Amino acid sequence: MATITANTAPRTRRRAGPGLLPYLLSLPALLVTIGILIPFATAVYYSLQRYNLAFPAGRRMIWLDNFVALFSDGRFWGTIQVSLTYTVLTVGVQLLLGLGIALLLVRRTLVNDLMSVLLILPLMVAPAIASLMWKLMTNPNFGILSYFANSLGFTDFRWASDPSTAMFTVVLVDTWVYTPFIAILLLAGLRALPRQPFEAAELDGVPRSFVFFRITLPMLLPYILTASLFRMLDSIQQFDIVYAMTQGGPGDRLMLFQVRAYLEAFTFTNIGRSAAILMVLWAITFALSNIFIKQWLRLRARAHGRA
Amino acid sequence: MSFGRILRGVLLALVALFFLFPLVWVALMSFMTNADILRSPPSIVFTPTLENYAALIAGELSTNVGALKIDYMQNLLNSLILSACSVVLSLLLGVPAAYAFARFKFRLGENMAFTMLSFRFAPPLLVLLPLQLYFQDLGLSDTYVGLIWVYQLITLPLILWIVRGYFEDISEDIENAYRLDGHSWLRTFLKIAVPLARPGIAAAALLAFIFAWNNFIFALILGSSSIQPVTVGALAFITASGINYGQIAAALVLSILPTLALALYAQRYLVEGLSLGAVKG
Amino acid sequence: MAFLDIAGIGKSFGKAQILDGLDLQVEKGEFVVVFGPSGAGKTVLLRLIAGILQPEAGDIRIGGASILGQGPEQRDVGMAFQNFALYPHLPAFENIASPLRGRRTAEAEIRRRVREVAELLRIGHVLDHLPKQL
Repeated sequence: MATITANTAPRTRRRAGPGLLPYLLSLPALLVTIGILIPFATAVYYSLQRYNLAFPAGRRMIWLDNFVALFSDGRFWGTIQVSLTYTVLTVGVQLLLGLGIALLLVRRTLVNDLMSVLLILPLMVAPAIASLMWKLMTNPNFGILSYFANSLGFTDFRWASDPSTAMFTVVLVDTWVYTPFIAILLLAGLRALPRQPFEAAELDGVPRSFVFFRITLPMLLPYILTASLFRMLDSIQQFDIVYAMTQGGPGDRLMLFQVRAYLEAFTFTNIGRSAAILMVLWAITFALSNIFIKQWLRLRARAHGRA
Repeated sequence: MSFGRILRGVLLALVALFFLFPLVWVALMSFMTNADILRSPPSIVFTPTLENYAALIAGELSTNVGALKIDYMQNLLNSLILSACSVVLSLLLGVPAAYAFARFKFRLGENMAFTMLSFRFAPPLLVLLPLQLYFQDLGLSDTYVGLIWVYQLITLPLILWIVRGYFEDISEDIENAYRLDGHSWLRTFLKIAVPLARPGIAAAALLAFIFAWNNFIFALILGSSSIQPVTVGALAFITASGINYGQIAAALVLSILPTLALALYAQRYLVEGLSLGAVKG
Repeated sequence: MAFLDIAGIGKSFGKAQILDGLDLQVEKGEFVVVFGPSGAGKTVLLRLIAGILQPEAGDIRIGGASILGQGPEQRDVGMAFQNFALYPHLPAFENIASPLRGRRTAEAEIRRRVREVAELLRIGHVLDHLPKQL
């Protein structure tokens, strides 16, 4: 005969928990994480030193002097300005272009689906290789784009070799490589939007521009923000495209953060200053990525809370 | 034919032109002789030749100053070894870890996931600069092993991020039922969780391979000429003087062919992986 | 001595105390129904017995021996899930055979018993189908 009673004093205490298993499973990944933290700590250490491989005897701790020197250096402010310019231009252009392409492709026709597949291709090209491809195309002697520019009346358009058009050229390459990423993301977002608001708007005879600006765009906002943050983080630390094209030239026109840091370390062997530049860059990317991760965690929590 | 549709068609054609023209043009260049390339005005009509590819494969290039030995095929092989091994290692390390993160809520797990995530966005040079000095001391400078281990910085977070989402999507009750049938957690992991997460694992592996293949800065700093992948090799190729332009184009085509082929073959996995990794999490 | 003896079981999730000092004794061969309003803890109790959840207090004994230290695969317990919990990537045959494989039953024996059950349920002809095809 079954009997059931409740609320008697508990007889034994047991600790709930998953035990050692999760730690064992993630141990290798943990090792990799530690593997990242050690060089990171070393970099912080270097940034606080006067450390030049060419003058090993002069190596010593100078604490924040590297940073003070950087921020009083006009060239460093130039680097900041170049990096910001690059970021604003690339993200701005790519968002607009990506959104436009996504809107063009949103309906599922044979042509649109084919285009969606073909558009992935530039994204699959290594950014450094893409730069080299465009370098070939803009070669003054045989580059097809130089030929087109000439026929359009832009005689002697020197693309990446000219200080006034170098930024334009690298932004162009960056746009070529990365716009498909934004287009794919926004396309997925557009297709995931619920149908009801749009059907209701159609029934109510709402004009298309209103629908776009007051219904579509606000609902796409999370996707747009995600895409922007990703691209901002990539652009501010861009290295491959610029290095492959001009190694930072002409002059200092394309000296983005990481390009500058690379040259400081490997051409001028000034490890201390290079590390300091990287720390400043890291601070910026850390702040930006924190915003992104917090948002992302909040979205996850909401999705899981509902599930 | 309404104006809207014509406009749409024109815009689409322009977009297609912008994004596909460079690929087509460089491919065309790779089949041209130097004479054809330098001809002005440039012409689409030319007799194609395979001599550029032949020279690359043979490893010997004829230039204005005589024959030059460049082993671009070695670069291709290096890319393959580095990318494939990195992805395999990341799968071995990452899939169990992703399972642990998905199924068990343990404090260290959340911290680790956060750390890995934030380092995904950190400037690579920050880590590479000290690593380069360490590598010289440890004797890892010229080895595949050293680079494969460092490539984990690229491939492992990707695998963790994407595969965890897929494991979380599997209903826990399916695994519980299997365990109640008398199977250990290891069998459950291998026979139920992993097979059901297979699309996600495939997408993650594909993306990781492509990112590893396309990497430039890691190999530039930590690699030496014998283990350099094609991204760095191509740059060295171009800067070497007197190289035939058709051969440069052929080298570039060879370097992008694998990732383009993979993308076309598995584009559905790719799109899913990209958008899932960026949005869903 | 009851066959299934649950004593003083306590289980909470975060701030919510779902079960508190619950006792239940079930004799061998007895047929028990547990019912209650949504959220009362019925499913939690079943999962505690199965070993999918661990109690924070109390003991569970089967045949006199505590099973708290055992994982679900070691407990001699079967459970039918509300959402079926079928293995979507395995054919019907394997879905049915799974617990037999868990006990390392001989292959021939597995085949015999699965066929037996399938004939009983008149699904012998679709044993090679996946759950979604049934």
